Amino acid sequence: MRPTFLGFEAAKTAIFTNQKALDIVGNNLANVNTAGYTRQRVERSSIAPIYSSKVASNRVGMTGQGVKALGVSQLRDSFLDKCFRDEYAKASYHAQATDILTAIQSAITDGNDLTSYSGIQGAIENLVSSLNDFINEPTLDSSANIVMSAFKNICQVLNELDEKLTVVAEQQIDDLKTTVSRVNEIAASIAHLNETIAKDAAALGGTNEHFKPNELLDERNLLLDELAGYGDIKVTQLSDGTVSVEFGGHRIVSGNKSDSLAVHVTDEKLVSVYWRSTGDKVQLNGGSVWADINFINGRGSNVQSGDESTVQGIPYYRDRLDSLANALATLANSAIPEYDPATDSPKLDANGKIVYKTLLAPSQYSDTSGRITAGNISLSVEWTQTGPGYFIYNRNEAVEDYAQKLASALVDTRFTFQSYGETFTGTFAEFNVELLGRLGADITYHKGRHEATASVADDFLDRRDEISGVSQDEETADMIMYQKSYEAAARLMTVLDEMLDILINRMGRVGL
Amino acid sequence: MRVVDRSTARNFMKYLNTARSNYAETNKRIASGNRFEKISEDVVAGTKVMRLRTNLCKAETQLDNIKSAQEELRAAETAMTSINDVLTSAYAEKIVAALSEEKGELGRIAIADELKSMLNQILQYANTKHSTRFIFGGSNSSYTAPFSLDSNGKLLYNGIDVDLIQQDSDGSYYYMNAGVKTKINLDTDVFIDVGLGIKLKGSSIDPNTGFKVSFSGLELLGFGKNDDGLSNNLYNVLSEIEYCIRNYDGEKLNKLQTHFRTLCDSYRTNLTNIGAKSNLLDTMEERLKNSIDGYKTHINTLMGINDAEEVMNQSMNEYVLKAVIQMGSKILPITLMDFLR
Repeated sequence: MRPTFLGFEAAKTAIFTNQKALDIVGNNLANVNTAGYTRQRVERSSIAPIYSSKVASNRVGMTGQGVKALGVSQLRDSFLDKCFRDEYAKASYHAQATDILTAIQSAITDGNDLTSYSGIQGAIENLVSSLNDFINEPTLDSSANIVMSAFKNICQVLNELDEKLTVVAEQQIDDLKTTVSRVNEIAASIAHLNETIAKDAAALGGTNEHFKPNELLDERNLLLDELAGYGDIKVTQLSDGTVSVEFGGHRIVSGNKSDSLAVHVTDEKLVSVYWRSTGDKVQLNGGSVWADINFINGRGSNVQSGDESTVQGIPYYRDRLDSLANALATLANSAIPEYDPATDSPKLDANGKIVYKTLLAPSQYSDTSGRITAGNISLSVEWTQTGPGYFIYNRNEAVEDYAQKLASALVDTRFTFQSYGETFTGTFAEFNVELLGRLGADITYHKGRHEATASVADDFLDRRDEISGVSQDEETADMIMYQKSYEAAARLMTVLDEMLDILINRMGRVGL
Repeated sequence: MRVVDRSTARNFMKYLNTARSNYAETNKRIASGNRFEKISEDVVAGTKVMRLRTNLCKAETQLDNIKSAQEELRAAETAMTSINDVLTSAYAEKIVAALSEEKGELGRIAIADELKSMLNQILQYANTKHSTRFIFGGSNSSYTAPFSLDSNGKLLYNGIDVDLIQQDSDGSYYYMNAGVKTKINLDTDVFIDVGLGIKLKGSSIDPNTGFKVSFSGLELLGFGKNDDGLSNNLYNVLSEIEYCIRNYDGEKLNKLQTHFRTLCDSYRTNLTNIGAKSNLLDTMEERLKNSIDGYKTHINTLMGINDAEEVMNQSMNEYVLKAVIQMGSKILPITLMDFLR
């Protein structure tokens, strides 16, 4: 036997459920362009009569109770999330590497514009040309003055390049500090979200797989996506709804607790990023923070301490410029001997070795005790105080050999450039070309890798969107369906009402 | 496969950005005339360009050196020719005239006086200075002329009696100073780089690889004594001839005259040497000019754009950009919603 008013239940639940479904369609359409939004869907199931009662049941009578809305779920694939985040970490690493190397390239004038005359190549050419002018008139102050200007020029170029590299290092360090604070913020936010999501799950009395705090989940996933760009992460879903996140193998978020990173900068402009909780250095495998650390600390094959990385970064190129400056000074300071009028030949010291004039020395405004570097190379005090004529070996005799030796070493003869770990043999011009070639090749490599990995990451984004993205066409079609279903339910209610009207008002009354 | 608005929009933006940056890139290339400017844009071509720049710089420097060498040679040639004219006049007219008996004592004294003034001229020409260096003074750039006379009127070269000077097997000059072999000062060779592959031997320049722009006065006027004990130096010989004419020593005069003629003949080889040097410089100049052109062309080929190709790229990229924008305007805004009543 059928309960009299049962039909109304089916119509009523249908109306409620379709109203809710339309609400969700509206929500999806409203959020079609929201970043990180996952499309939502009302989960329904048909209301079943009780099937397993031991007492005799009124199976036929109770069937047809309508539809039940179980909850609003979101459609998302966590495997695709993981794939995307892994690839994004790699792509971010190469993007950041390209950025830093391009900044270094801009600082080194020749790399930025191969036709420039204001870089090292131009300075070397200027020096060679002025030395040859001097060779034609090796006893004149005016030609010695041209050589002095050319040496001053190359010193200034080296000083300038060193300064520009320092600026690049400082900018990248500032960027890194900003990024690290962002990482800390994200970790704290995820921990906070974890707490809220866990409380919500507890309030529901256990997890309801059909109804989760979708907006909070979306927010958390968006933060995780961003975090993946900074370093390689590993996300583990726990049963209480929280996630545990590892950043570079170290647990950064666990439940409602988060760890944070700190940046320490040394005097030599090296950085170390470490965990505040343990003091250990962060060990990443990808991401822009890793690229920053590697390239800010990158000394290539000249690595001197454990803080430095073996990548060819800012300190490596600074070392190269320093080698060049050092080599130039060594060459210049063993080129022009002091003239001894008594013997009409170079002056000899107590050990019988030739005494050479000091042409280049560390600038008097810097620490003059150390090695000559690109940052402090300058004309020697003797040269500036004596005047351009200091360069002349003997005013009475045209001796051009020493100047010729200098000119040849710049473009013709091989010289050995010694850095901390690296040795290069070649002319000064070749040294410069090799430096630029290395930088160019590195940039090209990282750019290529970035393009490849970014394209794979984009592909994963597309596949993720295939599942989680909102399609306006689909929502519109669903909307029509829900509307029709609503109308049908309303119609059903009208029919039931008419049926009941006959039963209640007309049954048993004859002749009316 | 579900097509979702968000990924359609994202991919469209990606294509649009690519089309825009390609278009901007082409415009930049056409405006600057260079295919690339940064080394990272084409590493192989970039390093080649840098090496070519170095070679170009060397070649241009060498060309400048050749030009100054040519000027020096011209100055040297002028001076040598002037000396030659004096020598010819002295030999062909004065000495011959003096030997003939017709002149008489007054005539001979007049000739002797003329020879004396000719000697003066030779001395002046020999001491010609070009810029800071004495042309025939080796490496002498001081204020003291290389050739001077001692109290007896004999020629000194950088203060040394030329008759005492001898030449070593390696070509350098020396004299015996109290039994010690001493080099003549201010008489080293001066070399410049004209593209012969200049190299250093120890601390001095390998003479086979540089171009010598200095002349030793000893090469020019002669040095030392011959087997008969006569000076090999033109000035000293002429000076003795002048003395013989003045004091009429006929026998010695004959010997000197023959010797003088031999010396004059060997003097003329200096002029032919200059000619040969000048030809070498001209050849090197031609070669360097060609090299310079070659380097510039090569740099341009590596770095420069092919105008026709680039303009075509530009119109292609412009077309692609417009097509992408138009496509976007067709697919992005249209949804099912637009078609419902």
